[in-house]
Amino acid sequence: MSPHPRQIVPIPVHLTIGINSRLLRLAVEVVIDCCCQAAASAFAFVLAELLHAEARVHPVPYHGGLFIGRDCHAIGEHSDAVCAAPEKKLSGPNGESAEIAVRYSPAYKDAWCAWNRVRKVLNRATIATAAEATAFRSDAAMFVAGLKHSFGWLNVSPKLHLSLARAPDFLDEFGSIGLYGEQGLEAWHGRFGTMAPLYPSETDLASAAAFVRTMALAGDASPAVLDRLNPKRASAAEGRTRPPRPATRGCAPTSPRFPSATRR
Amino acid sequence: MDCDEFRVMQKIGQGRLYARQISPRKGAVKKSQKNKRWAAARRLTLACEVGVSGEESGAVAVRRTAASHLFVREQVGLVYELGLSWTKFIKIRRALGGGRSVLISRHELRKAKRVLSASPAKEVVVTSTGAHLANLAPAVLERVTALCDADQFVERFVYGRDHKPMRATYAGVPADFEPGARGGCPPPSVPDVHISVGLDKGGDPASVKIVVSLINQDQPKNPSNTILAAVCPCRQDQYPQVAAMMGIHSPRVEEPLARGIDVRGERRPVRLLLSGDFESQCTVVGHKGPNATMPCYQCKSTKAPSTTHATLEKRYGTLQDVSGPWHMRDADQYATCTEERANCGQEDHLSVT
Repeated sequence: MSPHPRQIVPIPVHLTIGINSRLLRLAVEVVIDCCCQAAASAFAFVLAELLHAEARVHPVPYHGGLFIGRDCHAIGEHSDAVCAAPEKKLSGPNGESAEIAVRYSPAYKDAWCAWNRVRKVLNRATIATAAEATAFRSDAAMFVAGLKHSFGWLNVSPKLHLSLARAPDFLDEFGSIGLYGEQGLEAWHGRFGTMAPLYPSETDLASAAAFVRTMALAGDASPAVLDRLNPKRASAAEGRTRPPRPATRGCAPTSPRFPSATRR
Repeated sequence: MDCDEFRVMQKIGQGRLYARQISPRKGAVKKSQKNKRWAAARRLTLACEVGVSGEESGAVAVRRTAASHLFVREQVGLVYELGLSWTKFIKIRRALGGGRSVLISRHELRKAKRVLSASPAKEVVVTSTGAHLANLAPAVLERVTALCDADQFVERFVYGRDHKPMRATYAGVPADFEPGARGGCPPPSVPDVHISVGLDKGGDPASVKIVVSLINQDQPKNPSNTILAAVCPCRQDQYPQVAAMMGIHSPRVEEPLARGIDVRGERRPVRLLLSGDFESQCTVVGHKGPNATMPCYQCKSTKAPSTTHATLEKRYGTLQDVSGPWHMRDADQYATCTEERANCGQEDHLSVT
């Protein structure tokens, strides 16, 4: 099986998880560059607590201990708080910004802004418009080139390279990346974990075989086929929808799940 | 015009003449009128079908009509999709009216399940590598047919430089077109079926899953809309293991590529896309992975400037050159573990692990 090189999907979920993690790590690296290793270790705890308090996310034991895709979107939506954290850390006791912090902060903010624009189009499971595709290409180029220019130590990883070089081409050619992404494949791991205990057997292989047999039968009731019984309502006319409610509504503060940012 | 006149005398002694005029209804009506007409038509139809009239025929009868389109195979599918036990199924059936409900009995359901399990599209083989769907092509064909029957098949296009589809929406396959001629990469002007094959290791207990997605539908990434082709319990997903797993499926994936898939009476070529995570994509195409000298499986750029690979770097650049250009690989550079390929230079093939 040899797929055409242009028909290899640029892994939107893994790009989102990987680049989101890279940007968070970059904040810690900025603190290392401006202060010291010890200060950066403390800052990493502060950042984790901030993400829990602001974006209400926490790392998961899988995905290499990173955030799940949905949490990456939540972090992106709260990128202002993430950008403010290193700035606050590097500012003086009276709130004045250090010279080195002034150099990094705008570049870091720009990187998050560009990434947020890229992230949304990258993961959207609809056909992008011509304007979106053009903006995506320029945003991806601006994002990676900006990172490379502002943070000299940054290495362009294969994932950054994919988002810069391959993803815009794929989007131009197929109109969407999210439609072709690997989200469905990843979801099968969770489903297998949940449903495999329903098919106990002597070996993992026999249990897996029972699961595959069952899922083959379940395929006849796929939501795409059953949708015929639930015809979709037409979209509301332009300008007839209510504006979205503020995101903060109903978010009561909860007790933090992370230990407080103290060093041993 | 049919007219009917009648006169009404009021208490004050004044008479008033009414004339009923029957005129055709408006052709285009708005939403609320349309809904009322649909409801009236439904009530009328159901009163005839179920044998009850008026108010009683309302909600229950509407449900009966809607659910009567739920085929037996779909009822079997729903039971397994939702992980229902027989006890739960019986309770639901009783709640919906037992024998009067549209759900078939448990015995009929079991019988239907046995028949369906014996069909080629649902046959499962167990080998030393894992549990595999025996016939991938019939499984894909069955799903495409179900989508077409439900009128849920969505056209997907390849877009040109101006971001416009490179074919008309209702274009047909040319009569003299051979679906298998281009092996998974048909010309963009021909209607096709987009299928992605992905492979990934994960979960607990760890296993490699091979999943086939049909992109020509709404929400193709919903796991329930995909086809689970194999589950292979394993601790590692390196090339030898994956090659053994894919060794079973590759001929079955190539079968629809060579033959095409029937969509609404015309045989369409298949456009094959490779999904999965970076590591698995590298493994499937026979690339050493993100730590190789040329870490990208799609272009020939080297990882970073180095004296060892100065020649390659001069010719193809590095990943650190964010301005490009990038040199795409050819499909025939992807791995087939032959001696000839293994002896090629680095720039001519992707080093097979």
